[in-house]
Amino acid sequence: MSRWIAIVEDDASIRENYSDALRKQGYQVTGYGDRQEALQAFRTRLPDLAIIDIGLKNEIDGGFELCRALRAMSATIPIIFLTARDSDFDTVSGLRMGADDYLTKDISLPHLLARIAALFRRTDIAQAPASAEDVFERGKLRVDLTRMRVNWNEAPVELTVTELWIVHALARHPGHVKHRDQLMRDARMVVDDTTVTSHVKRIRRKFMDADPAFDCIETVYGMGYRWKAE
Amino acid sequence: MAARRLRLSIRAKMLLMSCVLLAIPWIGFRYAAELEAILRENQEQAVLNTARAMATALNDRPSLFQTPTHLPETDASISLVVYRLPHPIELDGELDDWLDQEVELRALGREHVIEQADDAEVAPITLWHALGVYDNDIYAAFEVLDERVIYTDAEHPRAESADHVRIGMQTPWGELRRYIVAARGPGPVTAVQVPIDASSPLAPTLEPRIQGFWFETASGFNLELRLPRALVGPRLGFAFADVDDTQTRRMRSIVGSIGPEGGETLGTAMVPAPEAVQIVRSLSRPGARAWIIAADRRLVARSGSLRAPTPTAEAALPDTANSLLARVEAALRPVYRFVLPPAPILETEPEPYAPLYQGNEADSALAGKVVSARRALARSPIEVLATAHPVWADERVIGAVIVEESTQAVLAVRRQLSERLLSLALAAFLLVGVALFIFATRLAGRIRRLRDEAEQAIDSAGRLRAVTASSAAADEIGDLSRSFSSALDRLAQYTQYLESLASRLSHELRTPIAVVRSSLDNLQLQSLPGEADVYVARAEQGLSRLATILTRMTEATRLERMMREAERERFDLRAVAAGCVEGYRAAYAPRQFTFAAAAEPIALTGVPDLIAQMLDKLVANAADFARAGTTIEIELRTTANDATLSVRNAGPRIPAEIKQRLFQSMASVRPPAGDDEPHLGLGLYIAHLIAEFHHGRISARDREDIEGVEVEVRLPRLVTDPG
Repeated sequence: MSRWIAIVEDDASIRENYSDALRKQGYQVTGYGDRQEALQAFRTRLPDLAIIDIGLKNEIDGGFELCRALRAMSATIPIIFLTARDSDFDTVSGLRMGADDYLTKDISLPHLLARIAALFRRTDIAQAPASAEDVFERGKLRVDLTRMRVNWNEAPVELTVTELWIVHALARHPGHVKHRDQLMRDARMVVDDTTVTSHVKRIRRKFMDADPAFDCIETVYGMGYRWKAE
Repeated sequence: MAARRLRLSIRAKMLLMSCVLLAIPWIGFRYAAELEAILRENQEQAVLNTARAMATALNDRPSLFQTPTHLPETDASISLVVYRLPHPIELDGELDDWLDQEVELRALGREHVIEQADDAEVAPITLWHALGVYDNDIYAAFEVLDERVIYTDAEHPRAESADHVRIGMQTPWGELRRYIVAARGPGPVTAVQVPIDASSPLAPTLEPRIQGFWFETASGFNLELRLPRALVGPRLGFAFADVDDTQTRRMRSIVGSIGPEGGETLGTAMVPAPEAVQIVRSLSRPGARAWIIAADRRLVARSGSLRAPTPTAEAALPDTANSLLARVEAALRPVYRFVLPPAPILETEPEPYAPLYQGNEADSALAGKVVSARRALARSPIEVLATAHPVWADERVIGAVIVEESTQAVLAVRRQLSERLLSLALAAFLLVGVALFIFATRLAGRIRRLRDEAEQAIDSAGRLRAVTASSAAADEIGDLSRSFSSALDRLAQYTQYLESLASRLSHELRTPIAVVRSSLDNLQLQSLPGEADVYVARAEQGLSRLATILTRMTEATRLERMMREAERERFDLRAVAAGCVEGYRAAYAPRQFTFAAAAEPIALTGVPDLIAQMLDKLVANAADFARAGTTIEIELRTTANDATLSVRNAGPRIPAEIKQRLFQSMASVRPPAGDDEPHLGLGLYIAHLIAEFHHGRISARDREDIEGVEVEVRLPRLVTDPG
């Protein structure tokens, strides 16, 4: 059975482009132009994955509202945010919308597809019993790539897909310095250095919320980042 | 060549303007002069009125003028005045009772010599005399200055052989008589009558009715005489004969009022008529002197004194004894004495006595005309104002009244007024000067503050530093301040608009870029003819360049946001710089880098990531411009308060046209080369933002040692080390 993806995006061209590309991958896709339309549809039946543009028609934060409503209906449905503003990242992160990832609109399709695939894999695995593949531990860190879960000291840390990939890239080889463009490639995005820095900062903050003594991500000035082995 | 303009501050100009106030005292002095003229006029009028009143009272009363028509012209100098005495004189030889009754003693001396021996010298003043009448007695007083007082004795019993006083008179019934008074010694004396004709053989007879007292003094002797009034007619005269030699008993000199021949040359003795004196006294004013003269210019009555107390200056102006102004005036009086001439005061009575009125006014009055005249006194600014008014009886002029007054009071008032004026002018000057000065200071201060704000509002790079607070004052300066603030506001808004142009543009661009990208992505999933791949590939390239531009454009905005939200921490600048340089060596190989810094750590507060980013930008810039094969030098220097990071490269100098705008957004001088990296001119701008965020300063200049550029960032250190 093919998954049903809902795209809520007010720009018709982007919506159609994405829908076409996803359909080519075998997904079922419905596009919605505004929040009310989407909400009405979701009440009837929940999609398997939702891609939401934050700025919808006349509502600047319409996407947030929709996400909240959707989350209220289902705690596990994967939600990806799209936005034209990178300032939204911090907002979303701070508000803990519960989205699984947030991306800028100019993300390339292959990258988007990779994220969608990873999220679906997670959903599938969640039903099945746990297996010991794609899990690695470094000290207090426990990363389950398939289930897209990160634990620190047994406690879960809520990371987006992008953030998880960054942590994975760093922790895979503790002690090695990863340059920012390397992290970008591993996190499957094309952004500038400052964005990478912001992502790392957000990751640090999330870990420190769980454990104030966390300092495993070390900045190597002029080079990049390094996961400190304990 | 332009002349140097003299700079006058507003305060100086205000003070200069306040010199216009000098007009006040000038006007005041003009006013004082006017006042003086008016006062003089008033005085003239008052004196005229007094003269007129007196003359009117005396009109048609010829009896008061007692003109003996049968008497011939007499010599003025031998006319005597007999005073009316309120009390009788005690014949004791002491003249105090004369002086108590304010009788003037008249001096006779050298000018009144009747006879003189060849070798004798007569003193200017030989004797003082006075005559008075009380009831039926006429009293005479003589104060004689004589070095040797000679008396008669047994050998020389005759009066002429000692110092003696001669008296000559015409009786009321016309008989001429001569008497001599001499003494055997001090004490009571009696006169002897001698025949008129000196050569007559008749012996002198005692005249017991003429009594006197001879009183010896240190300088001579005093003689007081009493004569019966019935004996004295219209003529009276006397003389003092001086004998100094006890052996020869020769008369040295005779001084007096008697003519040498006696008889017709006797002077007249005028007893002033009481009514005339009363009229004069009652109508006269203090400080005025009145003369009543008869048609032959003889003095009939005289009263008053020019020296009598006039209304003093202090009473002339309103009494402000306790006011502040009076106290200030009193304090300043010594100063005034320098500036203003002192008020003149009559010390001595001018022309104290003259039996004939001397002035020319009398002539006109006696001719029937009313005339006023002024005389100046010698060596004094005081003038004597005299008005002469004729006295009529039956359309004939029988006499004249002359009233004199000095201008002493007027001058005193004028001086007082000048003093008051000077005080007021000084006070006005001070007040206005101080007020203007304060106002000018405040005004200049406000303008200066506005100037300072204007200079500081925009920093050397042309960026707006702070918007000034507009003044709330409701005047022109307030308007200026408000206009200036609103101009800066608009400038700030415009600058903000320009600076945010990049980020807004990028936001707008993102959606169309997303459209193009997703379309291209979809296109690539289709099966396309071979040629189409090329175009798709080119489109992809163009799109990625576009995306890079977009990223760069938003970099500054993201940076600003990050700086707003970043938490500052302590870090070691040296470690960060060293780490970065390692990275550059790897990233920019084969480019050479040198790093010079002291070994100690340099503590700073800030965001180390940003410092690294800044250094990245500077090194990227340096690497772009450095000539191939040259080294980029990075150096860290420290002083007590700052750390200075410099990045030096060899290469072209900074072009002049970009020098000012080097650190501004979107300032770039790179030639539009066909390389892949689009240059937006944001690198140095971002470096500048980061430097400012850390409270530091960034600057760039041409190198002095070789052709190249040095960029310097000065950052304040953490001075205290919280253990």
